[in-house]
Amino acid sequence: MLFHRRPSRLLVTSLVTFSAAALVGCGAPGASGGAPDRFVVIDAEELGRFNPLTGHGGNGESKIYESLYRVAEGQDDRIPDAVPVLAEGAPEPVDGDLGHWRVKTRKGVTFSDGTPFGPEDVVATYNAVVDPKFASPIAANFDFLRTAQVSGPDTVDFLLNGAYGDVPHRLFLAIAPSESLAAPGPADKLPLGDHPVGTGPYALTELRPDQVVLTARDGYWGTKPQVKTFVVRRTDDEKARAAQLAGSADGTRLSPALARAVAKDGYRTVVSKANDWLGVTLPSGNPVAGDAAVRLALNLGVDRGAMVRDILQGEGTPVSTLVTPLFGDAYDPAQDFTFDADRARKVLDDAGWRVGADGVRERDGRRAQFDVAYYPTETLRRDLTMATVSDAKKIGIEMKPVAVEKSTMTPQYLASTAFLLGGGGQPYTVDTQLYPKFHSRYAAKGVGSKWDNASDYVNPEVDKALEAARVERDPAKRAKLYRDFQAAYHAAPGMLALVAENHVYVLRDNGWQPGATALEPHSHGVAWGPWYSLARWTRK
Amino acid sequence: MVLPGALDAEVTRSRRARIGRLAVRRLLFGVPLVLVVSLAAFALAAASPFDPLEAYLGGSGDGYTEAEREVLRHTLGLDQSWISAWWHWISGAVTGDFGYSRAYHEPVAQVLAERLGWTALLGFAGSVVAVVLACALGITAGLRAGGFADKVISAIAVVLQAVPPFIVALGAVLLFAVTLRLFPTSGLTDPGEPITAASAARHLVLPALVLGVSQVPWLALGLREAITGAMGSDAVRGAYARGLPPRVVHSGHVLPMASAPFFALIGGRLPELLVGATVVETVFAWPGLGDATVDSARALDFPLLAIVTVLTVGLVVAGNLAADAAAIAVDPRIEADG
Repeated sequence: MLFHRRPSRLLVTSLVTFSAAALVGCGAPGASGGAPDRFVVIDAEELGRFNPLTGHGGNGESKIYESLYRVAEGQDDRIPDAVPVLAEGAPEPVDGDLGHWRVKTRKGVTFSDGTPFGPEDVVATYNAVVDPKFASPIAANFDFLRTAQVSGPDTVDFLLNGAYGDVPHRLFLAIAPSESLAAPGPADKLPLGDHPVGTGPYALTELRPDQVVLTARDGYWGTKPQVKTFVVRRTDDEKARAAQLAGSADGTRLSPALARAVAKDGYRTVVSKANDWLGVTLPSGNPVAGDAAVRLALNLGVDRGAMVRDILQGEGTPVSTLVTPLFGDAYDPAQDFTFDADRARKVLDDAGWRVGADGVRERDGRRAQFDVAYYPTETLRRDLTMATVSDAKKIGIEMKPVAVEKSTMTPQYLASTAFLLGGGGQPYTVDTQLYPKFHSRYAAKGVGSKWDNASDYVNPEVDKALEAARVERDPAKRAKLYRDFQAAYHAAPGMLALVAENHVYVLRDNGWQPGATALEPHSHGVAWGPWYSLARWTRK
Repeated sequence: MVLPGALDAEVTRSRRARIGRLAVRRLLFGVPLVLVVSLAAFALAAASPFDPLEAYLGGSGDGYTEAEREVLRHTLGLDQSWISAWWHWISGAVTGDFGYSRAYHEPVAQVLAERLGWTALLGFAGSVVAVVLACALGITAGLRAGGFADKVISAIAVVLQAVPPFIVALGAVLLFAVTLRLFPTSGLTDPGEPITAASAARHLVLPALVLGVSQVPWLALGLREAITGAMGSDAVRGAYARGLPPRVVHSGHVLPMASAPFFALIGGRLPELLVGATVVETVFAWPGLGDATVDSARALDFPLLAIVTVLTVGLVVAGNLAADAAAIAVDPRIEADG
């Protein structure tokens, strides 16, 4: 097969240094290919695929489509507000029923093909995403939704599968015209992917295999963007992206180290907070990893601060309970684990895990040893796995790293093997972050996805807090319930959460004033970072 | 009494006929080869640890139950065996329907239409660069074997052979595009500009040079070997003994004798050009099939993977055929497939 050899670390380092020197050497960078109202970026993702049902614009980040609500930018110390876009005002429960919500849709909006936007388009898009015939890869994000209905000339009703309190933060799906979804079939075959039709500020004017051009369109209902043309190119190798940045591009996403190397002389970095977390599952089905004392000791014994400093180059935060400072009032810093190896050893001693001759603990003839599986293709996962293994060794627990492929990860395998897990797909409600991860519903065999509560953790107090918060509409009371969850979890943790990484972007300083960044989900690309607010950029 | 001209024509005719017979034989052999190779591609892909459903779901597959995953597999037609997937593909391909690419969310025919031409252009330009450079260096080194030029050329070729193409490509970008600003860094055009012949040519120079240069070591060293071999042959020694001047010996004896193995080498190295193109396309964001090959393999995109594999086989067969035909044309003693 066609795989080239990976260049060695030394070569890469020297290339980075060289490219940084080259960038410095070439003085002030030129303007963006000449045009002042154009911005050129390099993405790492495949170009095209402008289809809401395959995940495009799923958090309101699309430039072509709009959603009922989008994430507010500039709020990363709490859950960002849901800003109405195609909606008028917030969703309201009908007659106080949390299983039935009504949204008023905006009037006077037209799609880029000239057809008027109305509630039927919202209904068609939401019903398509949950319709198995469309086989939408993001259907699972809408498992709370039973169906959507047109309930008036400009209102839509959402009928849910049960009571749910924080619906406003779940309605970020990009809206397509109902005509484009008339014929059900696998989502990836819809013409929308190459011929998008949306209500957003930009329209697709060119789609080539090497380039996408978005142009600010006439007839947009809102304020016309000042950046008239947005050009997106693609290169999946980040070293090549860094080199191309010096040529004719104005921005891209890079890893922290590379970003710092190239962000000189006319370029600067923009860091977005993201809820892109990583941690290790500690399955109940494994006699060592699932042991309460081992779970607690590992949480005390890993140095999360060092992981952020050394592995993430400072661009991230330690995570203990999956509730982080990003969640504002719901976050209780007192419930985070502080690194304390001595206390970790004491916890193990008290529980009867005695250090053996080779430094590994034992209890009743069982060694404190278990495998930890990880995907070797992602360097960050690999590095975090190795750091965890080394910290665990210091408190007498032997974790053996095992490199695995995605196809190895069957539910049976996960039930007894610790795994370095990543998450944070939709960080705009605390519920989506916690409920599927820790509620004992998902500990039962065959319930939910294999990734839901992958440690099969059962804690009645945790269940109680999560259930009550899910149906609580008052944000203050809901936050209090999530603080209760953290206290219950802290006393008896069910996994080993480690860190969340920020996303780092580099852009050319060429007279534009980008808006603040929005809190980002696990996904990232040139729709995010400073470009989330592209339509609202101004000149300095 | 046969006139010399008539004899020449006779010889040319017989060579043409031999080349024609050779081409027909190879093509007849190519059809079962394509079937077998495409079958093998499906089998190997199915045995690989990649999962097409994971590729389809991308990063958003965390929320599905196993039952929902099975339903998705069924809806998307991912639950059929590799052999039936192959049958599905081959019966469609015969009618001109190459199927739908899951990796690109486009019909395979469209992916090919958008990308094949660019890879062909890059490959062609790269081979021209490679052959011209290899001829110049190989002949220089071979005719003066053991001399200073030979030592330098051989050393450079050996070193270059050891450097991964990725590094050569990135180094070229940093030096020629970023530092010296002689060429654009990437793409087919400057950002946002339409494709014109002039812009495509300007953007083609650097990737074609890199691709060509990465192929030079093998070819140059191979040609050098062929020439030193020919220099030591009885025919050449006899020609010198008859007192022919070196220039005549070189052009009349040595180079024709050395060209047959050189052509064979070029033919055999053609697939390497594809491997090189994959790397070069990645670094230069050149929208060819190289990227598509890797993407389709990772996503287990059977229809695209199969057609790319078949095209590669076709290239190998065509490359070897062209090499043998060229060898027959220059060297009367060769009887191909004999």
